[in-house]
Amino acid sequence: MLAAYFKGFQLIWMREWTLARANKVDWFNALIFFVMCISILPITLDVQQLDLAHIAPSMIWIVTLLSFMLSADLWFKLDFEQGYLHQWLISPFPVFLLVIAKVFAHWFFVGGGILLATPFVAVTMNLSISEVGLILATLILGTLVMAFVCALGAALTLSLRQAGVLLVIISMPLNVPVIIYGTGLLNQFDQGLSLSGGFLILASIVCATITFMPFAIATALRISIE
Amino acid sequence: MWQAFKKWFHQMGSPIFFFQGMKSWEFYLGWLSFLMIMIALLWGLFYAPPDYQQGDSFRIIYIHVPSASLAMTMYASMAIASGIFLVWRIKMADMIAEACAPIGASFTFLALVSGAIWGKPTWGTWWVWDARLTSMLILLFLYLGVIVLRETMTVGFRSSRAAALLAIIGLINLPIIKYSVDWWNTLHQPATFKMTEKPSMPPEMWIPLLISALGHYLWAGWAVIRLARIKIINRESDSKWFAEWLDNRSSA
Amino acid sequence: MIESLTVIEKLKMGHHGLYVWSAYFIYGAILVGWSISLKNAFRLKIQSLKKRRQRITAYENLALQAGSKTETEQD
Repeated sequence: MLAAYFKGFQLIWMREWTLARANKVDWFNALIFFVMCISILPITLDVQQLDLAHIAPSMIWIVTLLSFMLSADLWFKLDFEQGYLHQWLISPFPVFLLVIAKVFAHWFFVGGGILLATPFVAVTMNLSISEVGLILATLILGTLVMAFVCALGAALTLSLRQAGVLLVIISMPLNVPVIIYGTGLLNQFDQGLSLSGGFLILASIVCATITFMPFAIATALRISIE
Repeated sequence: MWQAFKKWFHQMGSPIFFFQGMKSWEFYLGWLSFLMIMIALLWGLFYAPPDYQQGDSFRIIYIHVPSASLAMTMYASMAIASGIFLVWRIKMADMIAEACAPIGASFTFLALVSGAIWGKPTWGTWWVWDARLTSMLILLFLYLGVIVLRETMTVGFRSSRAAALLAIIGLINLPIIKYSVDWWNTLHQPATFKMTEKPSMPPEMWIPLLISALGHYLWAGWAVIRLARIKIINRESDSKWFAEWLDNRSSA
Repeated sequence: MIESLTVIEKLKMGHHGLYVWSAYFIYGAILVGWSISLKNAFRLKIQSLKKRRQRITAYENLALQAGSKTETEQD
């Protein structure tokens, strides 16, 4: 039984991976959005007076969240429109495995693009190497939570033609804890405090999200399709 | 006694029984809450002595504390009703959850606004990024998410279930949000503004507060029942029992 | 004169009157607004449904009369 699940999961993973990689628009758009948004923000600020490095981490975090929320809209859409999800819900195979595979695949491409772009963006904001390293480390954990929470929003709004703003309204408050701990770590670093506690909390949020969210997303998918 | 209560409780799961059985409850709750709120507010505004630190501005407490308490209670009620609806598919629970949302959101808004107005004379500013204020604001966002999700989806049963799921996840998230905001607050603000430690209140101050809180709870009960009954009419206006009820009502 | 002055002084609440009264005003607007709209919404709903019901029964009676008429004509 378990072996069958494992084999099944492997197959789904291959499918989702291939699809996410092939669907370049999905993650490439998120990446372009991220870079554009981050570069447009300093233009609105008085960069001569303001210490850009001070607000850069939170800017990067917020824009990352926005790009996840915008790209999540499409994660289930194609499978929903083509009837793949319907077949899946009828089949005896557990839905949460599909959800895990899907979200991880999309997280890898959307989050990976943003993580790759972050060092370049950070250079333009006078961030030090160690700060960039810390931002990357917190973002790896943070984007995982964002991916699952945004996937929940996408699953809940799946039956709507245009989820857009509604998805943002739904997932923004649920993303508050991870944003607070992620950006809080960077502030702690600025103040020279110990980081281990914050990292442990962030990691525990990630664990809890990965454990429980797939079931919630599976329920949301059922609601949207029934 | 228990059996009778159980039977009554189960009956209330049916829109017919709820609609007819809650009529008298609504009447008593409405008038009792009106009386209690009136007594409490008049007492609090005119007879309670001014606070020795904050002067008269403390009188906002008689609306602020009940609103803040109800904001959270209504969210919990909404999430519990949503859970009952998702598990047992009881339509009445869905209508209760639907009724709780806008009323709870109003109280959250009221708690924020009255807190801001109270903050100006005591802290010297309308808004502080204090842990309590921030988590209250996020609670308002959670409410808005649930309401907007329900309003946007056009298919009735689907919007109910989606809103129910979101309400439950929000309830699970609430303590996490609270802890994170507390953590962030201690990190950011080393006591620039602190909620002034509540002096142990004399009874002529806290008795009206107690009456006010109870009165507001009763009012919220009235409002939820009233709104749920309106929703029953909306959903069941074509059913036979409603037509009969209407006929009996007009002949009487 | 003195009496009314003290009342105004009491309403001013030191220099906090403006804050207290504006808070109570917003509170009152929201709570009274809810109460009135809930009371009216229920009543208006019932009224309109009652009218619709009366119309339906009137049509039903008309149809019944018409039906009985045609029956008598056939007889």
